[in-house]
Amino acid sequence: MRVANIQRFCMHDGPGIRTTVFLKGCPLRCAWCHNPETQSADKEILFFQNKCIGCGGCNICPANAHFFSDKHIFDRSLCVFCNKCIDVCPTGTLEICGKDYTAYELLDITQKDTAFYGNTGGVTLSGGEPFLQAKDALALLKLCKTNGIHTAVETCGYFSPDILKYAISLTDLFLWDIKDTDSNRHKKYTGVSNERIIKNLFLADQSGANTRLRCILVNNISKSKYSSQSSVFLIELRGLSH
Amino acid sequence: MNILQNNWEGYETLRLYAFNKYDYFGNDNDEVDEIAARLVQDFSNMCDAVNNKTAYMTPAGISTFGRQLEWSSCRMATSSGKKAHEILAGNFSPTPGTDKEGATAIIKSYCKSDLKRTVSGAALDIKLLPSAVNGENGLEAMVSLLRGFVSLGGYFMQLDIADNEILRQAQEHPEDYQTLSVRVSGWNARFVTLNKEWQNMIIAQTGSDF
Repeated sequence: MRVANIQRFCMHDGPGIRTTVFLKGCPLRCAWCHNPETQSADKEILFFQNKCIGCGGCNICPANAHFFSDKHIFDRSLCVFCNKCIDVCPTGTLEICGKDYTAYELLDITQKDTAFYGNTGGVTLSGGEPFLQAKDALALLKLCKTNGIHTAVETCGYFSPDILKYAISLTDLFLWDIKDTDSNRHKKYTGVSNERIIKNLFLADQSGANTRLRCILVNNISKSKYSSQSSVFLIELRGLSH
Repeated sequence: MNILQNNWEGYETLRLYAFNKYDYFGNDNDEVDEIAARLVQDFSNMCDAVNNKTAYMTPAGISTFGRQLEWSSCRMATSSGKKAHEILAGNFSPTPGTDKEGATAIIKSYCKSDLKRTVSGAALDIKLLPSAVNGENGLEAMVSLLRGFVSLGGYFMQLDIADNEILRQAQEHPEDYQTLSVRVSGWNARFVTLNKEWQNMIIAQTGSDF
């Protein structure tokens, strides 16, 4: 499966000390996205211009995607993903985002910190939307469970209801985002309407999933009085549906 | 050797490549940590060889306890990309700026050495931010960190909770603060990977924690 980043020693992606695997690709395009490099399911080159010392090593590029005027310019449209510039760059100005792993490889990496998970910590799948790569994500969750590792999934809730049953049986805790309760506004700011998300949430509730709701507050969008009220309404409604 | 004798003069690109592109002690890389473990073993053997031969006992130990500052004037350039007179690693900790995987990886690297033989002590310094340890989960996480440390054979760790002053230094010298993790509105990030505005915001937020 395609991974944007793996971060050990995470304390804010669920309980205890966790290893968070950020899967690449997301069906939403939130205007405020805090991990925009995980939106596309394709591999991408990250370019940190402030790290560049102008050594010119990246001129090794067979497609001439790098050129220098008064500063380093990287023309992504020319990139052929040979990764040669990444290998020679001495400062990390250029990095690849999107590496492919098998579920077993990821299990090995997450097991490096087994000693620190204790009774509370474990593995969190994040992204992107982990269930965009549903088959692989479920395989990893299953491997974690069979190895006694606590599993959490940070999800936007936008995935096929068909996988929900399997996801629930393999996930100890869902950290479930509700970006907005108003469908039109949801579509305006995330690119998709929220019906499927809320339907999945209620289905998960009915199936006994352990879910923690997370609502985002954005100035002038969801921080309005109306939106806060509707989020509370959703939480109340959800309480009744249990 | 000539490059190192000339303190990397004229080879800045190569120096940065050596510093940034290789894994060093503190990243839970078995191949690297075995070298560190072998050094500890060899040193312990040497100490044992002279132990009790004189009126003094000479058990092995690994520590600097601040002397890494005084000793820095005697240090020449290293092949790891450090220039002459830069500050040494404190105690049995990674060289500043070379640890990139966080506190659990540093502990794993440290615990791969045979610490039973360093009976004079082998201290590990770990820096954490207040935001990483506060709240109920912070307490839970600290308990897990300490239990994990002990279960792996560790016996001497010094936890630093870094304050705003250190964050400002991290802004000026990001290469020395690679593992400082901070909370950024709901997730953890390494402070040095954030842009200036984010960093300033976090300094302001952390200030209100005190």
